[in-house]
Parts: sequence; C-alpha cells; structure tokens
Amino acid sequence: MSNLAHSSFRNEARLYLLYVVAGAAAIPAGIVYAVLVATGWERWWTVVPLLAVGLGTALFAWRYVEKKYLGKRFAPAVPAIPAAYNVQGSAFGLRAVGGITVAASFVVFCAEVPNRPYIDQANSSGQGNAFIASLDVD
Amino acid sequence: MGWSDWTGSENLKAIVRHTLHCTAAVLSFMWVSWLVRIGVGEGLLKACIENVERFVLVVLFLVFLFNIGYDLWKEILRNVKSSPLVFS
Repeated sequence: MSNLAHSSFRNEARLYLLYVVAGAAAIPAGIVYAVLVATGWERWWTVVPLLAVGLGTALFAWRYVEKKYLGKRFAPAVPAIPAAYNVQGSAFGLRAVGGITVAASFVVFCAEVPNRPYIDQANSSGQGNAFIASLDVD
Repeated sequence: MGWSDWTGSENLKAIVRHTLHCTAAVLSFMWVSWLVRIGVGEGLLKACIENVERFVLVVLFLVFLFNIGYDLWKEILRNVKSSPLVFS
C-alpha cells in the first residue's frame, strides 16, 4: 500500500473514530433520558436540556480526543513562527530563544513609529532640539 | 456568484466524508445496541437500551449537522472575503 493511500485510510479511520467517541460521550445523558422515559417524565423541557448536555459532552469529547490523541483538525502547512525559531535555536542549544524572539518581534510591531522626522525644524526652541538648533546659528 | 462559490468542491467532499462516517458510526451503535438487547432479553432494561440508542443517534445527527455547518461556514467566509462584491 502506498504512503498516500495509507495516510488517507488513517484520516478516514480517524473521522469514524471521532464520531464513535462523540456517540459514546452522549451515553450518560442517554441513560438519564432513558430513566426519564421509564418514570414518565418525558417532556420537551426535560428532553431539550438533556439533548443540549449530550451534544455538549459529545463535542467536548470530540475536541479532546482530536487534540490529545489524533492531532488537530487542520494542521498548518507552514510551521508557526515560534516552532521555526525553536528548530533553529535547538541546533545551538538555545531552545528558550524562540519565545523571547517572538515577544521581541511583537514589541517591535506594537511600538509606535514616529510620524514626523526626529529633527523638528518648526520647533527649534524645544529642549530635545537644542543642540541641532545651535548648529544653525553660525 | 453561484451556488458553487458558496460551497466549493472541497466542502462537498467534506460533506460526503461526514455523511459516510456518521452513517458508519450510527450503524455501529445500532449493531452494538442490538447485540446488547439480545443479551439482555425482554424487560425494562431492553426498553432503556432502546431509549439510550435513540438518544445517542439524535446526538450523533446533531454532531453531524454541527460539523457540516462548521465546514460550510468557513468556506462561506473564505468566499465572501475573496468575492468581487468585497473588492469592487
């Protein structure tokens, strides 16, 4: 069997397994529903919240198993920036550099870029421009 | 914009996949429930197992609808972002 066919089969089995897990996670709420029916309490205001609880547990189990055991739903084709930095850094024994680098890059992005030139010709009396203004005196 | 702009071939594939696997899971649950009912025999427990099965099937159908909606919603958002209406 080729690699592609093997991976495709794995994806298909994965989706089937996720549906089975979701159904199994709804069994406790189903037992409560069966008890309600057996005792004659089957009304819409008891069944609808139970369905919501069952759906919630099913989706939670789906997400949990997907993230914990089967990997994410859509794996990114390009590695994330921190991962890329860590791959480079690990070659030099600098695994912690990735986080610092990303934090620094965010600081650079968030820093306010001045919208006016550093030398403000219209405001030569300001303290910051005193030295520059004195150059123009001669 | 036509219907294909809102769904796309990828989404149709995803819908087919979800339909197939949800059906397979439903059949699996029905089969397991049938086996357990045979083992249990007649009585209140059998009715309870039938009700649990019914509830699980309804929840599986809701999970299926959720997944289809999730995939369709993403495709719709992608198409709306790249549609000529936005760029005109």
